[in-house]
Amino acid sequence: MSRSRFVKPEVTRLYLADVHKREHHALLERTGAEQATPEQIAASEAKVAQAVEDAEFIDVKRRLNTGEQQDMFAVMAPFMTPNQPLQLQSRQVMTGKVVAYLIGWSLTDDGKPVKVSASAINNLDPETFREIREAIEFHEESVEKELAVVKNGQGGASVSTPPSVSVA
Amino acid sequence: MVTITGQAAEVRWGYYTAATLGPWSLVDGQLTAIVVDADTYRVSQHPLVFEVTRATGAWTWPLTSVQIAGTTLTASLQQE
Repeated sequence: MSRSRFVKPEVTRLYLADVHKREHHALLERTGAEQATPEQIAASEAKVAQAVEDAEFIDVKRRLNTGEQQDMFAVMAPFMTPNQPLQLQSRQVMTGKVVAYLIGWSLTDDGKPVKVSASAINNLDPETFREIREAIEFHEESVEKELAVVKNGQGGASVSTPPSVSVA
Repeated sequence: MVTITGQAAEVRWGYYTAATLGPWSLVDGQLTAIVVDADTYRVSQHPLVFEVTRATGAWTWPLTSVQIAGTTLTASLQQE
C-alpha cells in the first residue's frame, strides 16, 4: 500500500519543561570561554525544576497541510515580487508559526482555562511566548527529520532510481 | 421520541472543521442540519464528530454515514 500523501489531523503534546531541559543541556555542553558558571547552571536547574512543577503543555498539529502552510507563509510575507528578495514581516514571522501550529494548551488565567486564539497569544507574557515558539520550532524540525528518514528509506540513506530509458 | 434542536453546530474531523452547520435537529439518533459551509475532503473522512458549543464547553457525538445533499446534511449518531 502506498503511503498517504494527505495530512491527517494528528495532535502532538509538547511539555514546556522540555524547552528548559534542552536549554540546560546546551548550557552544560558549552566549553572554553563560553563554559557556564556554577551560578548559571544553578539558575538553569531552578528554571527546569519550576517548569517541571508547572507541567504546562501545548497541543500542536503534528504537521501543517498545504493550505495551512501557505496561509502561514502569506502571513509572514504578504507581498512577494518576482525576482525580488522576500520581504518578511518580522512580527508575523514570530507569531505566524505559533498561530499555525497551536491548537490547545494547559494555560489558565486566574484559574480559568483560556481558549487558544491570536488574541490570547498576543496577550501572553513574552517568556511564555518564547517557550511556546521554541517548543514548536523544535517539534517542526523533529517531524521534518522524521519525514526525511521515511522518504529516504528507513536507514536514512538516499535511494535514487535510475531514469527509465525508452528506446525509439 | 426525543428531539433536540439548535441553531449552530459543527462537524469536526480531528481539530479541523469539516462542516459548519446552521439550524439542526436530532431525532432518535438521526441528525438533520442546514450546511453553511463544508470542506468536501474533510467531510468524507473518519472519524467525524458532531459538536455543539455550549457556554461551559461542548457536546460531542461521533457520527456515522454522513451525507450532504444540496444544503442539507443528514447523519446518524454512532450507537454506544
